[in-house]
Amino acid sequence: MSTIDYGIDLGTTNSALARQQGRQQILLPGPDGDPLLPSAIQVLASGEIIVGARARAMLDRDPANTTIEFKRLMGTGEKKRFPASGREYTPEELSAEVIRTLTERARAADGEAPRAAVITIPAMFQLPQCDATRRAAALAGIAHAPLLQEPIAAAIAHSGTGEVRDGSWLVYDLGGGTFDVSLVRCKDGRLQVIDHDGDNHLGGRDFDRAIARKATDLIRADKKLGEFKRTDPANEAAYAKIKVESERVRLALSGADTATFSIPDLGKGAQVAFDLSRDELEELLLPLIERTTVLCRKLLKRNRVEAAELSGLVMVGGPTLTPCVARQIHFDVGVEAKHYVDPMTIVARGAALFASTQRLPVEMRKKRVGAAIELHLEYEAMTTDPSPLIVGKVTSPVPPPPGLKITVERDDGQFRAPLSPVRPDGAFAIDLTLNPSQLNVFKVGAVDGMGNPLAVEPDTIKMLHGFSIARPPLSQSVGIMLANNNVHWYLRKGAVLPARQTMTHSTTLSLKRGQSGEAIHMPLVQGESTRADRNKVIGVLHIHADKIARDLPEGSTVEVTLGVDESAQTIGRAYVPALDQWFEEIVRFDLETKPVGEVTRQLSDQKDRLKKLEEMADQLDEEDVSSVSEENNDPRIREVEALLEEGDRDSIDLADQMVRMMSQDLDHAEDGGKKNRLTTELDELRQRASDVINADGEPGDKRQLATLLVEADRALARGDLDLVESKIDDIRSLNLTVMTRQPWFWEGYLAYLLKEAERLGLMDMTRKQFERGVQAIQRKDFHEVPGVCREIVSMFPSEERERVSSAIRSDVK
Amino acid sequence: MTAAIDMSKTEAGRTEAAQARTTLRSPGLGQFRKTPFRLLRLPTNATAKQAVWQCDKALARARVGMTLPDPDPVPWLPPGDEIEIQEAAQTMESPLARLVEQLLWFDVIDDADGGALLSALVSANGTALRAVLNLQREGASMAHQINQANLRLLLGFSSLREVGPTIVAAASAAQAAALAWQDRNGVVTVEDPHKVIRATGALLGNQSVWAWLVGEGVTKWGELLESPLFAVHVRMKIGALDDELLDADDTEAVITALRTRIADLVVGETKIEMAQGRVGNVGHLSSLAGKSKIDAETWLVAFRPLKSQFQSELAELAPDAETGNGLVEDVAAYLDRLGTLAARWRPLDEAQLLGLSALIDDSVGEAFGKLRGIPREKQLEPRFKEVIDRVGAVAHSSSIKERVKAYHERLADVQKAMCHFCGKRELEASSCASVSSQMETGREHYGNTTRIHYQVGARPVARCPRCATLHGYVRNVGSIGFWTLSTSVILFGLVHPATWFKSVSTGAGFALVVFGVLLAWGGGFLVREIASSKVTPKGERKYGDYNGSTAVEGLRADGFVSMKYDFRTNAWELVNKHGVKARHGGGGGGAEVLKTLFYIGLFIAAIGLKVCARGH
Repeated sequence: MSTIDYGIDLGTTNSALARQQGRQQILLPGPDGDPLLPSAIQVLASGEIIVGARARAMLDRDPANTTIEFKRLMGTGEKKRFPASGREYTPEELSAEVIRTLTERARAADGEAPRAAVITIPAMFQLPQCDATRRAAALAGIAHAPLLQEPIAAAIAHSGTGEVRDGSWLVYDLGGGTFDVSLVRCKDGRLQVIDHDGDNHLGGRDFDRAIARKATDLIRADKKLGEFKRTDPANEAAYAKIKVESERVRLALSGADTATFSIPDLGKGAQVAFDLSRDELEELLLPLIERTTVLCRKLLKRNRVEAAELSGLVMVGGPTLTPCVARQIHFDVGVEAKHYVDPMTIVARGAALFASTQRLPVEMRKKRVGAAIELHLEYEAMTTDPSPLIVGKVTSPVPPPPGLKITVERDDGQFRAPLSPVRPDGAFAIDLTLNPSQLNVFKVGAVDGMGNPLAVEPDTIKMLHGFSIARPPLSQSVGIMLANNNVHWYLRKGAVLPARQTMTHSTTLSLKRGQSGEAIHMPLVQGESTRADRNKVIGVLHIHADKIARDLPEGSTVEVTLGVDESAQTIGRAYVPALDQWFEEIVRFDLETKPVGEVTRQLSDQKDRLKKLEEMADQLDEEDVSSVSEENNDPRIREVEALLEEGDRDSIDLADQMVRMMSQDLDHAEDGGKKNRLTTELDELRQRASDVINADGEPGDKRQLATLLVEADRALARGDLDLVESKIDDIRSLNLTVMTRQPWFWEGYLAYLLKEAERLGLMDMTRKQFERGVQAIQRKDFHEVPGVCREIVSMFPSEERERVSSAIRSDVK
Repeated sequence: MTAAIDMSKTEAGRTEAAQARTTLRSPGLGQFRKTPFRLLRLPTNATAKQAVWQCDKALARARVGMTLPDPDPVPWLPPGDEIEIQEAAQTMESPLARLVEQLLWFDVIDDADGGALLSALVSANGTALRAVLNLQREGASMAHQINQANLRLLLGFSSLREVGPTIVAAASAAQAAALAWQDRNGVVTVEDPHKVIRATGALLGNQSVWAWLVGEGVTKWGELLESPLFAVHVRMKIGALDDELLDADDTEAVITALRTRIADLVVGETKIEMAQGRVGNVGHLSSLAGKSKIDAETWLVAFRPLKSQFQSELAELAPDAETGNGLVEDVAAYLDRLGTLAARWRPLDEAQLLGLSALIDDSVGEAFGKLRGIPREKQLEPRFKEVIDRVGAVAHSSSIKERVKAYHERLADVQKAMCHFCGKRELEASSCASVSSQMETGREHYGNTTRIHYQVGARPVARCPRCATLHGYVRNVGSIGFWTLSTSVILFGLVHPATWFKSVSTGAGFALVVFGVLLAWGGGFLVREIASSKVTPKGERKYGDYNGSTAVEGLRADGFVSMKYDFRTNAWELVNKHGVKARHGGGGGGAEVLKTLFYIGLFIAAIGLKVCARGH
């Protein structure tokens, strides 16, 4: 066996293992015959670990010692404590238990547990989460674990089974905890993932959460359990029961029109029971499904593909069995959604099919004892090429016999390649001919100079014709954060993996050799925002002062290389030409988990920005801006507030994710249409400033205005928007200067301050100053009024001071 | 790899390794090095499927140290590694990306001179390549025009990085035309090139060669991108790809992608040149960008990331946080540094695509802001005016120059509003001195009576409260002197020893007293002058130095000749209160009454003296 062949779907709710056998994928069942293994773990008081259905059944009875959905915490530093045994496990240790249980199935079926397997991950998994998955595999004894994105695995299974014709599809993968959507196309047997998108915090459990919210609202209304806070440890058992019952009701409503949600004993005499119809469930789920369809539409728009051009939409994942999902997708996206393959196992199947194209590392390949000649062969195990090439090299420790030739013959006897002489360096190349659309097996051999056959290792190769898979694309862009909070992107989303890029930077500080603790930091970020702090920092590349050969001055050139392999593993290194030294130390970060207070503060910031944007949209009549403001954010804000109210770790992470998305949308809205915005702003200002300066300005002011307007127009025509902004600031400043020389300005400003002081209840404190100001105006002493205004402003609270001062710039006339 | 490490231990090795790295990093060369058509040895009409198959073969070969059997069309560039080969295949599977790569490569199929081009490239022969460069035909196919533009870019970037064949350029287009190229059975030759060399003296150096080639390449691309025929060509190529992900509606997207790519190549090279400190080349690159027909907006966006590097250089010049005189000198020094930097940057950004002028202007604006913040009296010093002038000189934008001019005008106005005496503080109406005058405007005769008409005029002499106080002091000292002396004289006249002045008659006595009083007046004036010269600060005008004031000039301009000056602390207020006529025969002030009383007193004293004398 020279290919990996095993594929593991490590899911949030369920996991599965499949093996590729010829053109078929075989799902390996557990002792109970079910190929699905619930991703649930119970740790008994004895320390024994129960994995799967048995553990899941204990969730409502022993919630403290049972855990599910730990995949959502992969890559974070969080640990799950099991009080009965007193043990603590990280999410990757828990995932390792699931993988180990699955590989035991392979041992039972095949006699040996695999040491290599393809493991699937959500497309939107970030690098710390990928690293955690790899660690979990290693803990479970999988020494070689290429990672494959779940939607790609699903697409491979969908297209590779021969069920579909050439064309483009959307693969809609709604898992237990994550959502991914991919645009894939199959052309002449070549499968290619064009693009994908997703939400790391949206899945079937959010469907259950919607039902659970209805239940908790009723429980709170009943008041027997007080405020019934989720964060209260006393309510842990009750919430576990609600969770289990919510899932049961949701699954029941997939087949029935109504189901009863009932928990007779929640403790302290409390209970909850209500009937839920399918229509009511759909109403609860609608906002969540709409979040997925928005991403589908966005993906199509980004790739300029009309829904009508699609050959179909493939649904993947258990939650897609909820009846309203397909209907809503059809309604929103405009394409029929179907389950072409079992949505629960399609990912594992795709992983196995992909695994059959992946070569085992040389050290893991089985070797026959006593083989005469060892060959290192290079070929594509899956191809659409009818005449592929096999290239090899003799790797035996002893030199190859003179006149050595390699023979290759197809096992059906219909094709025999001409004898290929081995070059002095041991290399050879042979053209093959494949039987179309089937598995081709070739026998490999060798003959010496006398024509005597010699045994070789390996002596057989398999090539599947008619289907091949393009390399997976990068799910999120990777770059380096710059000193000015911009990002220098190295690899953009969609870049084929493996990918690598080298770019040059300059240092912004100097480094003295041997300075303890000092270093040049180059943070690696992952995301899509041009503002570095909106993205996730996944690690920091360091140049430490104690490792440099000599002092490094500010402005030194650093060549940084970032690469990402097919498994989303990132490598980074920096070369400093001035030192002629390489630096490869990357401090990797866990996924950030924020406290509730910080998320609340960020939400408040975004609300302020949203308000300003709405005002701007009203002024400019900007459709892009107003759509961001109105359509998406109001329900989002409500959802984030509800999540923060729930207060558990998962809810806060989800709230944080939503706030980040909101920030990015607002960034986009602010940046978008900049030229239009500036044009409108300039036109308005041109009118306003001309009125003021022509009426009250001095000749010098008028000349200045005319020059500034000419410069601004010229910059606008050239598209130099930075310069336009600068000129607008200058015009505004000139306008203000002229205005502040006019008595009416100070009269108006004093009146404005009076109103503000009344609103803030500062009249008593500022009365004397206002009287002075009014008297000065009455006696037309306009030299005194500005000083009085300044005195009044200085008495305002500091946060108001800035606001009323800025009012000078725009609001007062 | 081992060899490379060993080499890098020597200085020469380090230089060579650095150059190899630069070649690998060069975006311009990278375009031609990593294109799928080179790495996979594909013709421009290859399908995506063929590319994938060829990629599999290339990868398999590369892994055992074998290369593709077809010759490398750009042999002077390093070969691709495994990742680059995979990326190349993926590019071929993305129709938009592939078409951009295709158009930036050599279409030897549709170009009548494609064979000559390919063989010249494969042979890496500078002379043959130079000959191909001269194969520019009128009305040639679009593929030919694209090939010519691409060849210039490839050879230009190669020349910049000092790799590949040496291309010899004529010193000018006219000289290039003078070379008589001839096609002899497919071999292109030139008749006696030395004749041209002799005539012109020398050929261009390497620096000019790359600038010439890249400049022509970018310009040719700029022209192509604007040409409607090129759009037709792109549509045709889109049709030939037969990919549902790309249709004729995407023509503009392809053209935009090409425009952006070419701009990025030039900007990428500029960045390398900046990092390596070759500012001359930075200037060449930005200049050729400015001369290309690619629109300024594309260049501005492409060049924007470079701005931060210039900004950091600018930040190093920032002035210290001084105040007062220190601030003026500090800003002056800063402006000098800015001026030097601006002069150095000017050739780098003649086309104003890097935005360096705006950066300088921002800094100049900040410096100007600092200057405006210093106290008003300091602003009236000549040094300040010099520094403000420097602001205008360093600034690039007309609006800043205009702002400086306007500020000068305002300062001049302020100057007028400053105290005439000290020149440092603003005048205050209640403290102004006054100067008044009258002139005859006509006479009327009524019998024996003649009525004379006068016009009176008065203006304030600008004075600040401090100078008014000072002048009040001086006046008081003078008055005290006068009163003290004159009173002493009168008293002495009244109570002098009986033996004195026996023979002096009353009339003579009276005359002596009057003389004494006149001497007292002179003494008072002397005291006032002494006090004035003692208390008036150096460099300021004395209390009586009102002649050069705007008030006097104004009155003179109105035709007044004789001036009456009043420097009392509230002189101008008194004029406003009592009118000008009070000063010119129309009424009396308190001082006039006092004077009259004084002379009456003097008269009584004289009579008293006379009576006393009779008694004796």
